[in-house]
Amino acid sequence: MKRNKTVQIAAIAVTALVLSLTATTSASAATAKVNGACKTVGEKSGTLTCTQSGTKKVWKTTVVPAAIKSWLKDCNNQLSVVIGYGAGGATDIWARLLAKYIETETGAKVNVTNTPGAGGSLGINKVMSSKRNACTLGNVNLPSALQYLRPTSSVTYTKESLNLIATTGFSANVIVVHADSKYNTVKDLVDDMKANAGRIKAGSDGPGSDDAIAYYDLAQKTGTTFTQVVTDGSAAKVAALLSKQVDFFGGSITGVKANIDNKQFKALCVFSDVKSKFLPTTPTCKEAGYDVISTNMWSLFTSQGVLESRRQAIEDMLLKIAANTTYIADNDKLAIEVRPFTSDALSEEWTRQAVLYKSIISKL
Amino acid sequence: MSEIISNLQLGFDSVLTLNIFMWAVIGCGLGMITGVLPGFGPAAATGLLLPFAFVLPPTASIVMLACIYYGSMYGGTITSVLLNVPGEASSVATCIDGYAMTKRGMAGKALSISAVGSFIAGVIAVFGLIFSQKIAAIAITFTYLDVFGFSLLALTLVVGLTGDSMIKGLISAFLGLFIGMVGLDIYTGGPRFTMGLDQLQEGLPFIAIIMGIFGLSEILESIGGKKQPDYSGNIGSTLLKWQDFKDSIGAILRGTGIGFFFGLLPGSPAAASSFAAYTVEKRVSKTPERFGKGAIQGVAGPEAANNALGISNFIPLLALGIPSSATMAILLAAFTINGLTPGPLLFTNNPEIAWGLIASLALANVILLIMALPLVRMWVSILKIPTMILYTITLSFMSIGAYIIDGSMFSVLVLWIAGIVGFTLRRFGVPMAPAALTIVLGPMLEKSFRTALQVNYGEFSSLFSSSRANTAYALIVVVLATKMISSIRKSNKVRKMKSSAAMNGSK
Repeated sequence: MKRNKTVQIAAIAVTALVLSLTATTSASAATAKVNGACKTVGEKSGTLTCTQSGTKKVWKTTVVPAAIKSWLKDCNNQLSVVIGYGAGGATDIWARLLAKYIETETGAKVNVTNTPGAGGSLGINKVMSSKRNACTLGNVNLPSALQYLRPTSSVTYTKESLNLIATTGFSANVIVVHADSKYNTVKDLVDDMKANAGRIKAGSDGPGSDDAIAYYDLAQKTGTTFTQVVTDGSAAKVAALLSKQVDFFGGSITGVKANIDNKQFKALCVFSDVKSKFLPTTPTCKEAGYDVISTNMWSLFTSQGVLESRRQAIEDMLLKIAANTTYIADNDKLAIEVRPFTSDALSEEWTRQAVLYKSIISKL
Repeated sequence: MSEIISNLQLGFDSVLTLNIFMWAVIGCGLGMITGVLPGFGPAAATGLLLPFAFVLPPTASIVMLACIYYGSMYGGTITSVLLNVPGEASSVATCIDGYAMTKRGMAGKALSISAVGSFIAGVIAVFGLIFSQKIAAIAITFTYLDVFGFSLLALTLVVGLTGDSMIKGLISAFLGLFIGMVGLDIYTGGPRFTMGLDQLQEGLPFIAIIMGIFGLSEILESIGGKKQPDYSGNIGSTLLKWQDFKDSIGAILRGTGIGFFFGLLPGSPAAASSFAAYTVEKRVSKTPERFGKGAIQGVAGPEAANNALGISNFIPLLALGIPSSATMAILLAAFTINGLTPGPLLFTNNPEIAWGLIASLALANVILLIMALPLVRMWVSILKIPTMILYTITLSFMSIGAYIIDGSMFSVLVLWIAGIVGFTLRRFGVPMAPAALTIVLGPMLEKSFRTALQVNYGEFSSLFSSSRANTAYALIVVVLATKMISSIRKSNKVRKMKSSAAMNGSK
């Protein structure tokens, strides 16, 4: 009996130790660097993205805006970030890292909860129906969020249902082939797709997924066809390529960088307008002559009806975090690019991607 | 050989420091707690503690997260044995005979053999991990077609779980297959049996269903019974006798092999390996009728399989950089946060980390055995709680567990509906184990079949183009033929007995 008690006490002590460590080991706040003036919406200026109103104003570390103070007061210093995906994925890891920095910035406790399901829409629904005080924030990923445009979709939200805040995380998709593959450039691949119409196999996350959309865009622009092999998630795509059951696939740099570093895969081209800092020697597909863009953007939003001054203050805070060099360095370790988008720029990008998505999905 | 020894020495040197040892102990402890809490799986626990990877040294953070994962494999057994509530997916098969042992006053023994079995399996599997690069090179050659063959073979195992009535067993199996079909069709994106509910797009929550058809239906059955069961006097000895060990060692070794193999197959659910180990034990046993009524091998085999799989799951990650589960994806993130790249180069560029992780898993086995055995008496003392209070606590525990799955009441509703369905089917004598197996195997079978066809441009003849898959088909024929022959023999025997009884009666 006495021994049982000792064991119980030891277990409680260990748990308490871990919990106390969790509370105290947050990284120290770094000072923000605000960069130069903006010219056009969406243009990158250093680490900040330009907005319609010009350079973003970011408060100094010591001065907390009144809107933030009242926000934290309303939320009783308890914030919640709802992730529409399961634990362990790129979105989850991005959100948990961001939550750590929001905690440092505000001093509030940020709880990250996973509400996976229906391609992220269950999490989005949860945030949409939360109180109009912004104590609950949620993640929205582009282009995954565009699933509402698919004819078979039962998703009920649209862009207008969401109160967008800002984007911090970005990862372009890259075409990869097996290290032993005969393809050394994207041109080799396209030429073979032409020569062997419909016989080249592409690993995909399913119809309407970002990679499938990029393949169809590429096929349409080059007049080629291919066979889509649907796999169950990005790890399954990696396994399928390693076992040479598919000839190529497009995956986020965040997801495949380890395999490229390990020399298991060759990167042919990046579906982005600019070269990735994580793959400096890999050309963009545009440079290689194929103007196809396919990226992933990780953003935060809240429910409609939140005071605009409060939403704006949260946006400013996120942009400040995005300018934090320590935050950028931490993201670098995960091969996540910090490419901030203001709510306006995010909204514009959403519209641009929606137009492209609709045009391709209508032909599938 | 000398190279392996020196590598292992390097690994142990990097983990056998007070600091790393402390993180390993904390990880194992947290893992056990995670395993005990249904719904709160190792992925959620490691995800919550991932930010530690930014502040802790690489070895410490990776060892802690790996120990959480591995510890949860030990912890998941406890509620399966004591309450018929699986703490996590891989403990489902343990419910069958583990809970039956509890009913027979052998709860302590069941927990002890699962700890010992897990330890032995873990140690053997860690030995296999030493050769992870060579094993991974073979594992990566498994195609979707091979996985389809093995899934089909695993599905025939359902025959071993059907109990007395094949028809009732098949009803249960088809129910499981149907449950597994609910959700979005990943190949077309179209919804299947979702009834317009967004929550069903990802399918029905497995743990909630399993808790319902096993744990909740058991409680409803007991409440509806004439006499309430009382387990307070049924704790029994926690010490294993030499005979118990002798009875179980074969099951442990077979379970280890099965679990280790399943851990290498891409997309293989953990629950499938423990079910496979269970049915193999039943099949090789000289007294298969004891299974389902508290056979110690029915606990030892699945538990060994579960833990061997826990270790072999590290092989695709360490040797190829492929995370085979959500928890492994978090571990992969912990590696990359620390500037490390899991995969073939890890053993060359960062041998102290790769071998340190292997050494830490060996260490975790010892820590968990030391933690688990003395705690058996504490866990078993839960049964001293009066039955009705215990049921109330268990119901709350299951409901909270279901709520944790996705933070909504939907899974709690699923739990209750599954409980009522399970209770009703039990009343008609329909066994629940086949359904549990087919819920996990159904989607695996479908995905491997359809993807195999896509890889082979839709040609059906390609389904016979793999020697591994063909071997699996041949084994299916053998399994089914054996079952048919034994059924015919049994019915002939019964007929003979009846006719001789009739003849005796007429005399």
